[in-house]
Amino acid sequence: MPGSMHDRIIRIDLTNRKVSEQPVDEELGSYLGGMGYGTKILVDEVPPGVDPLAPENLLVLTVGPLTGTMAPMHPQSCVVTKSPLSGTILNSYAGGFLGAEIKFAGIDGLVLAGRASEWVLLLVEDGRVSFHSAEAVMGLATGETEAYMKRLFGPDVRTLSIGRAGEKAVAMASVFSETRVFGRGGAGAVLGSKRVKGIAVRGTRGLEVARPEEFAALVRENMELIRKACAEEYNLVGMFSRVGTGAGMGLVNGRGGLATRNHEYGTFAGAAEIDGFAYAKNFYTRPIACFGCPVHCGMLHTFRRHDGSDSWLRGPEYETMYSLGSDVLNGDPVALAEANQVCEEYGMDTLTAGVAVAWALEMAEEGLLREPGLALSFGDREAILGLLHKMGEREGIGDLLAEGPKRAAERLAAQAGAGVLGRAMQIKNSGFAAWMPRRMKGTGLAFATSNRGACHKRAPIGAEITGQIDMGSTEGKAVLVKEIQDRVNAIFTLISCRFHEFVTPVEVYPRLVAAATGRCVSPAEFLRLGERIWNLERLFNLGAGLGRADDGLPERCYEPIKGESSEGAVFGREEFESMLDEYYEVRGWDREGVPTEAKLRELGLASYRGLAGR
Amino acid sequence: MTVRFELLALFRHKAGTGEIELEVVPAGGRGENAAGIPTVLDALRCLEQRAEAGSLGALEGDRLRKGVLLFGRSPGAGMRRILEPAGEPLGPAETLVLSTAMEGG
Repeated sequence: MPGSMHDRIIRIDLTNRKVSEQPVDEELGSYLGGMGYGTKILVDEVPPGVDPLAPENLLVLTVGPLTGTMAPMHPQSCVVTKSPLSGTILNSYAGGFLGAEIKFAGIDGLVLAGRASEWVLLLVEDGRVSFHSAEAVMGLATGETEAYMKRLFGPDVRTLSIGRAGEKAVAMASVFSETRVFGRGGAGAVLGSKRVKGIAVRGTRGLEVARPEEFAALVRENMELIRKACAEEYNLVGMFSRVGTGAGMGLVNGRGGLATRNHEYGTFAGAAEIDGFAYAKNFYTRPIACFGCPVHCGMLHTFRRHDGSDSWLRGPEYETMYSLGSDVLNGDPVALAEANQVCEEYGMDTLTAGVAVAWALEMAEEGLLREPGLALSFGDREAILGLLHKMGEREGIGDLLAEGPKRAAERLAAQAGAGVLGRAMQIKNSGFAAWMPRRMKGTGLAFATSNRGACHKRAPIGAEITGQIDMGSTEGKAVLVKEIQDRVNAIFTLISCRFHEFVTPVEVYPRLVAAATGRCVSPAEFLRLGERIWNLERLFNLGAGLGRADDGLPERCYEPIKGESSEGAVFGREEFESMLDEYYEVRGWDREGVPTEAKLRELGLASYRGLAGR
Repeated sequence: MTVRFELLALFRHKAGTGEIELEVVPAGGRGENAAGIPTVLDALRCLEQRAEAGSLGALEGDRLRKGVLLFGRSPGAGMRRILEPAGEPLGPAETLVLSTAMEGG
């Protein structure tokens, strides 16, 4: 039966320059696509203890059953690998147009293995792979690398690339895909370790769905939901459509949950100068859309930089407004945009990079860190930009910060005492996303238990910050967090944009999958798939040496947030540990966070029991 | 009774300010409660009439418009979400906080 998946994955052995084809068998096919395929392939083939930057690690780039179809808000592709930042399994996502192009190239994904003898650019053209020298783009920024590939291969290719941070194995190096980013977890360093500077994809094949009329009807129904949401003045997705993801920063600040000055405070006096409305009002703004997306939440702005030059810059997303804004006391929208741009050019995750900068500024103010030529203090534009440059180059103090906030703090702790570790706002070395665990305790539990560390994509953020539930309470949060983690994992097998679920009932996804692929999955089976993947990830992480101690919060979370609006919010140690116990129990794990035999049998994962190594 | 309003997110940008203080009196009808104390609905109506750049558009009849979030902030008592402003008495020294939503992702 024709369907929207090609059941064909291309494997590229970079060491031997060999390309082969992997058919998708029934077992892999049952993982639907996206992070499901990526997780299954990685867990089956990569030993959990592998060095993430060794040739034995894989980088799996996948698309989902709705990618490239008419289904709205399904532009993304997914990278799964072992993270050099967190040491965990990683899944990371980028929108734009690459995902659809991969699908049009007649494949469901790429598996990159080994390490090239020399730096290469890869061209994937309708499933055929060719190797090209990357010599001309070594040391260049992500955008320059993209422009070179479009000159070399033609303007119609879609690309991904790394910048200097990826070349230099900066632990939070990201992968850029035109205007979008595989941000979290350091996939850029893995690509760099394989000596792949960029990948260009061209696809000219069509795409079929299994049941065209049914699929078209579902798409029409879904488009209508999105259209209505966008038309409503106060709908969140509608506001994203008009001013971008920074639309709700004022609410977070007003509720005392906007992490400020390295998470010491929960309100930032300059928030209204750097939120989405401020950018839309004060700078010429042009929305940009991903493939097949009527929302167009991306915003391009024109800026006059501090050096007097004018340029278009992709506006900071909400998470960056925190990490390179409030958290480093930067209320200057131009300096924030410049910092965002530095991260784009080097190819670094703005979240973990910003968290590392905030920690370094606090350490510097306490006299524990210094960098010749930089006056390190919060809110200082030169200091913030200077630290980012040094991280991207791995120069001076930047070499320390490039390892991620936890590892940097551990090294400093050897001289300055363990107290400095508790000021590094990270989980599993992955910097906190823009939310404060003390203020929003369900989100805190979600951060702590996230398989990739401090993940904001699978947390009860909306329910807590909008007051649907009491954000200071721990009651019922373990169950809620598990449900969200499993549900989002299921949805990420389709690689739906995270915002799609804000307007789409979860029951719609299995119907879309059935109409697109012919594969029938009940809503319960769909959600169970998400749980199965969550447990597979957990087994891999346990095998990599992580455990309960890695599901903890930094010391600062056990101290009250300063500032009136934050109401002294704090986590009690016993309170958090009790939440964690409850979470493990709800998951069917033992007290150390190891899935029980019964749970693995229930999920059809009994054969993976040995993966945990305990 | 003097009521302090805190305007967040889109409301702040519509009003051009983050804070407004207004004198609110019971308006009668559904807004009035038995004790003659102004209700949250009275306060919101008063705010709508006062908003200089035209209506904030927070109300649809007696109810909050879809997507509008309303909280009451009291010193020492934290914030409470208010879903139905009609008949809801204003707490002593309570600040009303108007906002639009936010999510992660």
